[in-house]
Amino acid sequence: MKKFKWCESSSVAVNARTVLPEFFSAFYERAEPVLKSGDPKALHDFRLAAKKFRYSLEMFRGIHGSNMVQLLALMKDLQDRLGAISDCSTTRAMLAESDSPEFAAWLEARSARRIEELRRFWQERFDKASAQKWRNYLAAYPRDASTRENARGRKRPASRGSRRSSREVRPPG
Amino acid sequence: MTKSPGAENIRVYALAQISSLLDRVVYHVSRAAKSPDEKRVHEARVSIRRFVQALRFFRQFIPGEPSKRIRKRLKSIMNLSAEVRSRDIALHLLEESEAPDRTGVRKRMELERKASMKELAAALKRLNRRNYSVKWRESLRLEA
Repeated sequence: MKKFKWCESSSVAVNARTVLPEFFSAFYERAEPVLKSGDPKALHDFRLAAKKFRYSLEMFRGIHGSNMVQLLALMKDLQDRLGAISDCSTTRAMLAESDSPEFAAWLEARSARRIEELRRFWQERFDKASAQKWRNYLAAYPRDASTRENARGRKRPASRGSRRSSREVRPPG
Repeated sequence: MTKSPGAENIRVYALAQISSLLDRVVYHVSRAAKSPDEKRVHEARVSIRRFVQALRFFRQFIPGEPSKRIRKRLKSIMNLSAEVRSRDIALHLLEESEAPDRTGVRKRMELERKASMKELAAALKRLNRRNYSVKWRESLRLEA
C-alpha cells in the first residue's frame, strides 16, 4: 500500500483533504488495465485495493457529510461486484480435476458474466468526469474552521462562499 | 468551546480510530471464539481487516515493530479463517449451480470445512486467553 505522509501539526480535516484525494487517484489509476485484462489475479488485487481504500474512507466518515455516505455506498457496490468474481475463481481453484465438470463450467460462465457487468458498472459510475468530481469533493471536504477563515479572508460572506464551493465540488449521482 | 470534529489533531484522531477498531476486533473475535459459525467468522475477519488497515494507514503514529508483530499474529488467524470462509462460499455456489454431479464435491468441501473450523476455533481460543488487547494497546501506545 502507498505510504501517506501526515502533517502532524495540522488538523484531521486538513490532512484528510490532502491524503484522501491522493489515495483515490492511486486506487483509480489501477482500474483500467485490470478491467481490460479481466485477469483473476489482477482482479483479486484490485478488490483488495478497493477494500483498503473503502476502509480508510470509513475512518473519516464521522467528520464528513452525506456525500461521503454516497461514496462509501458506491465503493461497497464495487467491492461486492469484485467479491462475486473472486468467489468464482477461488471456488474454481479449489476443485480437483475429477470434481464436477458441470459445476466448473457453471463457475466459469458466471465469472465471465460478472466481469462484463463490472466493466459496465465501472463505465457508468466511475467514468473520468465522475472520478474527477469525487477527487474534487475529497480535496474540498470536510470544511473546518480554518477553511471558513480563508473564505472570510477573501472578504466574501461566509455563507455565500460555502454555497458557491458546494456547487463547484458537488459529487456525481 | 467544543472543537468541531475536523479540527482535532490528526495524531489524536488516528490513535482514537485504531483504538476503536481494536475494540471491534476484541468483540468479534470473542464472539467467533465462543461459537464459530459462518456469520461470526465473517464478522471477525472484517473487523481484523479494518483494524489492520488502520495500522497501515496511520503507521506514522504508532511504533513499527509492535504493529508488525500484531499484523503477523492476525495474518495467521486470517489465513485459517480464509480456509473456512472459502468453503462456505463454495458450498453456497455449489447449491446455487444445481449441478447434478455436485454431491461428491459437497461432501469433500464439508469435511474440509470441518477440519479447518477446528483449527480456527483453537487459534481463536488461544488468542482470546492471552489478554491480547491490553498488551496490544500498551505496545501501540494507544493510551497515555
